[in-house]
Order: sequence, then structure tokens, then C-alpha cells
Amino acid sequence: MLISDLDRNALKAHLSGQGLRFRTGPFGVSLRTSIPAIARHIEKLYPHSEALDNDAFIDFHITTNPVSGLRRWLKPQVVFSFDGYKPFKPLPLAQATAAFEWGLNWCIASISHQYLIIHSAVVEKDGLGLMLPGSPGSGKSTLCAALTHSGWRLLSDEMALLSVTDGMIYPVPRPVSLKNQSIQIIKAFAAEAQFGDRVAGTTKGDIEHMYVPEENALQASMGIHAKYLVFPHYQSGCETEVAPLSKGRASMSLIENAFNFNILGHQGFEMISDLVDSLECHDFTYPDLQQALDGIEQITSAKP
Amino acid sequence: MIASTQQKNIPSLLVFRFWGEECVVYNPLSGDTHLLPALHAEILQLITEGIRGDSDRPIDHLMAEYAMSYEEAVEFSSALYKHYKSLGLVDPSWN
Repeated sequence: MLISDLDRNALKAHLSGQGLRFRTGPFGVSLRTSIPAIARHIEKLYPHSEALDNDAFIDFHITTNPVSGLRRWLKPQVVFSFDGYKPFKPLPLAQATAAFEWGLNWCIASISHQYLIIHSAVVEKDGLGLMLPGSPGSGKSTLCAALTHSGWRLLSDEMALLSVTDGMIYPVPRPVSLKNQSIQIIKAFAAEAQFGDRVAGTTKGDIEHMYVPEENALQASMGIHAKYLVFPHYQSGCETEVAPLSKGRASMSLIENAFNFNILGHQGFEMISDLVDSLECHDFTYPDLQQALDGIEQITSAKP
Repeated sequence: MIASTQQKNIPSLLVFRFWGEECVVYNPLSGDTHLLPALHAEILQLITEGIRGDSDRPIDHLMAEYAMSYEEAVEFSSALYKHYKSLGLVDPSWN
């Protein structure tokens, strides 16, 4: 059964009762919330996620509810908790959907050490994976969103899950988080793209989450081998430049972008080294989205 | 009663990955990684092995593989040794 098979009342009853149990990528999530915006967010952006039975294993028990007491009326806030632990300070209630998405990211990155987790978008076409690690402002998510509307399938806009067991990258295809100008850029690029509610004034600016249709996402159970590693750098007004990146530098950059490298230690080092062995690595500077897409096409269609 | 024995502070072995002219070294003790020119990493390997035995191997290697004079090889390997010591990659107490 999928979340879309639940009618709105049933969905709300699960969320406000024992929790909505669903799968995202390889993870089982139980979400409890009384916040209508999060219910809408789940209904609109997670319709193809599998709704899980009561006996299914749950990795993350999440509660996202308004702060109680007088503050509930004076300055409404939302608090995210995971297994009863509250890792973040409360956020304004209007940012509840962002709090849920960020909190789920935190859960995955903090405890899922069966994967080496690299801060990177990952997309796939014809069985070949493209990793796009990047710091904020690099255009990673914008490029990733555009690629998913250009024949590539999404594994993740945020984290590459590299399995400790088999070295493959596994999908966790959740809504793509777009910020500020990127929202309008993608709406202009892909008129068919659907979005959740706008979350204004977060610490990262204005945010909208882009729905990823089932056909644009890789099946959650299917791992891939990456072939291309591209570090995108958006720079207004620059010339497009694709430069080969040495494997040593690529390795160091991936280590810097790995959330749990220090926990996996030697094993993590061997995993990144093996991954880099199999990758074509590039630095990629671009001035706008169309040039970015052309550059990716150039990189991925070149004969080795 | 069994007497305790002095446990030597033997370091975890550094882990090396070479790609052409570059090498990334992982230090399991600190968790740090270092990007080094391949030549420097080769000498680091020999220094860490030399600490446990033949301390002339870095010098012999530089003379044989890179046509350095004895004096040049000594100077070069000494400079690298000091640098790696400052990074915690070698430690004389391992001897």
C-alpha cells in the first residue's frame, strides 16, 4: 500500500495517532504530527512512498509537533524529536515542513552507519550514476532538480548512501529542496514540476520542496555504481569550464563531504578510495542552468 | 602471579593510496587524511618502516630511484621526517 492509497482522513488519523509508518529509500520512518502543513506535505510530496504495516522495522521514530504551553499562542513554534531526543532548538511553526525534512536528514546522517554518507546529489541514467557533491551555493540541488526533468532519475538531492556491504549507492529519493532564486529557475525550466508549500524566512532563505514523480526516481531498493563525480560551482557571469580533477584531490574532497567518515575510519577510507578508483572526476564551473546541463551532457557523453 | 610486560606503543599502520603523482595517506590514530606528492609518500612509507628497522632505506631509495647524491638524499629525507613528525605521522617513540 502506498501513502496515496490512504484518504486524507486516514492519513491525518495515522499522523496524529500512533504515527504514519512509511518507507523512504531503505529506511522505515514513523512520523507523528498534529501539524496540518506536514500532513499536506506528506500527502503531496510522498504519495509513492510505501505505507508500512505495524510490524515493519522502523529506523526513525519522529515526532514533529507544536511547542506546548503559552508559547503555543504567543509565538508558535515546532519542535522535532527523534526517539524522544530533541536535537534542535524549536523553529517557527510556519517552518514545520522544513523542520521535518532537515530533521530526517539529521537522523539518516547521524545513525545510519551501514552507509558511508556523502553530502552529494546523485542521479542516474542508463545505469550510470552521477554524483554532484557541493557546498551551499554551488547549485547542486538546482542542477539535480533540472536533471530529474531531463531524463535522469533521482537517487537523492542531498546524500549519497554508499553501502558498507557492497559499495553500491542506494537511493533515498525524497523531495528536492530548492532555495531562493532556484525555485523560480526550476519553475521556469520545468513547467510540469510540482511543489509543496513555500517556507519563507528560514536560516537558508525561502524554501520549496519539489515533488519527484515515481518515474523520475530510481527504485528505492536498486543500488547503482557511480561513474561520474562532478563538483559543480555556480558563478554568475563566468565562462563554463570543465576541468579534470585528480583522484587524490577528488578523494580528499569526498572525505570532506562525508558525514560519518570519522566513524567508519579505515573502512571509510578504503570505501572512498575504491569509489574514486571507478570514477571520472571533474571540477565544473558554470554561469547558468542551461550551460550547466550542456556541461553535464558533455562530461557524460565523452568517451573515456 | 604473571608479571605484566611493557607494551610498546606500536602505531597503527598508515594507509596509503597512490594515484599517479599523488597519494592520500590515512592515519588511523588521528583519523586525519593527507594529500601528498607520490614521492613524499614513498619516503614516508620508508621512514615509518625504517623507524622499526633499516633507517637508511629512505636514503638508499632516493639515491637509487631519483639519482640524488648521498648528501641530497639525507637532507631531503630529514626535512620530510621533521615535517611528518610535526603532522604526527611519524614518532620516534615507536622505536
